[in-house]
Amino acid sequence: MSISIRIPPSMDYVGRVVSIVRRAKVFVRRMEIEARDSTYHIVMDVEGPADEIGWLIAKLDKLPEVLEIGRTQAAPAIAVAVREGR
Amino acid sequence: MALFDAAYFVDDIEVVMFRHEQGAAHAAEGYARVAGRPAVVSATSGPGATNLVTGLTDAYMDSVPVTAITGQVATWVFGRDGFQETDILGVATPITKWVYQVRRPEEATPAVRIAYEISALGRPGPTLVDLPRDVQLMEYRGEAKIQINVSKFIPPKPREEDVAKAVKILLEADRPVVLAGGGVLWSGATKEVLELAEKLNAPIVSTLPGKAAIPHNHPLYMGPAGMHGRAEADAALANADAVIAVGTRFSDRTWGRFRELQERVRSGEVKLIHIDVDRSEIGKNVKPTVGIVADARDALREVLDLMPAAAARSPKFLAWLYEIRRRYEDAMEKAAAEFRHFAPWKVLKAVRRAAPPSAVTVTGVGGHQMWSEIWWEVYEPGTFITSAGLGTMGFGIPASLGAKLADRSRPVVCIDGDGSFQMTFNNLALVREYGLPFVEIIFDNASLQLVKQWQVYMYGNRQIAVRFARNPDFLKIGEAYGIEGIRPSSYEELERAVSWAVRNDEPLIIDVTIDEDKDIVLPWVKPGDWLTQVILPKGMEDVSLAYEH
Ligand SMILES: Cc1ncc(C[n+]2csc(CCOP(=O)(O)OP(=O)(O)O)c2C)c(N)n1
Ligand SMILES: [Mg+2]
Repeated sequence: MSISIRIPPSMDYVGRVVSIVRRAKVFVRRMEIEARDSTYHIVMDVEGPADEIGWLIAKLDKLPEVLEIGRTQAAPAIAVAVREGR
Repeated sequence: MALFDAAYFVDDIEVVMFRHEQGAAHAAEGYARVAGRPAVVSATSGPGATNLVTGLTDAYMDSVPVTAITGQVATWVFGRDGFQETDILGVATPITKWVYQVRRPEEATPAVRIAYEISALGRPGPTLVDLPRDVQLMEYRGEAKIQINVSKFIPPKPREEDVAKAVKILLEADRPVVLAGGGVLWSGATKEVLELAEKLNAPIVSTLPGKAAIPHNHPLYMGPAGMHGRAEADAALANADAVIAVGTRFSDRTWGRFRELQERVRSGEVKLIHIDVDRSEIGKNVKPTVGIVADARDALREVLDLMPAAAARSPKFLAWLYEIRRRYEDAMEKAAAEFRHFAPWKVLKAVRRAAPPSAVTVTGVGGHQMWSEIWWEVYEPGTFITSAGLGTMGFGIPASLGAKLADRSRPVVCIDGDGSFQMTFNNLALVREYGLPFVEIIFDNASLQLVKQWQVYMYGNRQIAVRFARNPDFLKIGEAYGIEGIRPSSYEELERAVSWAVRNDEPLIIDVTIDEDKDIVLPWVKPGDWLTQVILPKGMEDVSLAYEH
């Protein structure tokens, strides 16, 4: 599962995102942050039970600094491409 | 410093100086719970800021709106371990709804405004704004835009099909139960909860925070369920075939454990409807049959609007619950006779008689709090304030001060433990200084009773580090702060003392001697046990909480 998030470009906010991911019972296979269009785009590939991933996304979406969040089953590279096309 | 210096020139900011920042944070919680809007708590950088942490965590766990403003070293010192530099943003990250460090002066105003607004929007919670020293000293330069998405906190309308499903479940159920959480209080949904229960002739059960939302003299209210709930409430929840849970996060303290519930919901034996304003709560601990993300009152209104007058239900289930209540109260009446000094629950009854319905009751954390959970009768919504989610000893005194600050016309009574008292009594200095009288009732059992209870039952009665070999003289402490005190010798004397203090709006410390050796809070669902495995008091050996139908 690939989760994509858009936040304002602040490492404080990245820390907030990570603090939630830390407590999810998932394995993070990849996490990338890229500054683009004056926001940070975070993409992470996580593995774990569907419920747990659901919990993680719902928790992340509670952060007011999370401007956008989405998930995709697709391979990460495709996910990035799809998002960029948006 | 610069922030406070600026406050010097502003007339409409009331600065209340606490003796410890933790106290200020709990007071902000007490204030918010009575006023229904956030108070702002401010502390200096470093130790001042870290002293706020317990209070902010408490507010986070109990969904209380609080806004903190912390000082910070100048931006050029960041990361260089300057005097009193603490990464408070890092510290507060997991315990706040939002944090923001102001790096440019034009961010200051919007940051504080957003922090204040967000803390009360949707599911409430604490927020923090960190103000570095150099930024505080800069000239005002207008307002920058802070990018954030607050629309997510505006509760969505409940989905029609979910509401219809919920109504169908409730109508078809034999033993529906309404479970009220703290969200009922924040949403102002007490009336709707009562109306729904009346329509269904269903028992109402609450969580510990939800206790404050339900008038206890309502015949359908069974009390709080869970670790230290009422036996009849545990019985109602454990034997329901449909539960509508409103504004609650499915805490293990309410359910003991989730396995039984989850299995029954999965098999369809129990139908679970979960209403919560916070999407992430739905299915977090237990997957409901129907989940409704919405404001509690809105959702219940729609349920009620769609619900015809419900079919008559057999009164057997309710009668059985009332019988459990009667058996419990009888057993406790007998148990009280064994106390040489005061029995905790009888103390609560005496205090309740003396305190008017509008009185705000605050508690410490420990056995006395659990006795209050079981025995304190709430008559008006919002008049019971306790640290439920974090269970913070020392919450009582400062939260009482905050409650009184929010509404000076109402009496405030604090049910405290001798251990809890000793954690934050330094804030008693504010009672005379700011004219914030309240009645401080200390359950003086010379011990950390609740911990001792765990040692007795779960650690082979090996008691360690739970007894106060020497307590201070609490009345002398009161005297030092100009507060009168009394050590009553009868329930009548206790009741008279509370009446006097309330009537005259005078502060009073009441040191109530509790038999330490007999002070075991029952019923008790041990951690990790299911509700029907509850330990009941002597005299209830033949009572089972499993309903035979
Ligand atoms: C700040 C804090 N430290 C420790 C605990 C663990 N704890 C829970 S209840 C309790 C005992 C409380 O003692 P007291 O206030 O005297 O209340 P009692 O149980 O005796 O009624 C302790 C130590 C806690 N909840 N909070
Ligand atoms: Mg004690």
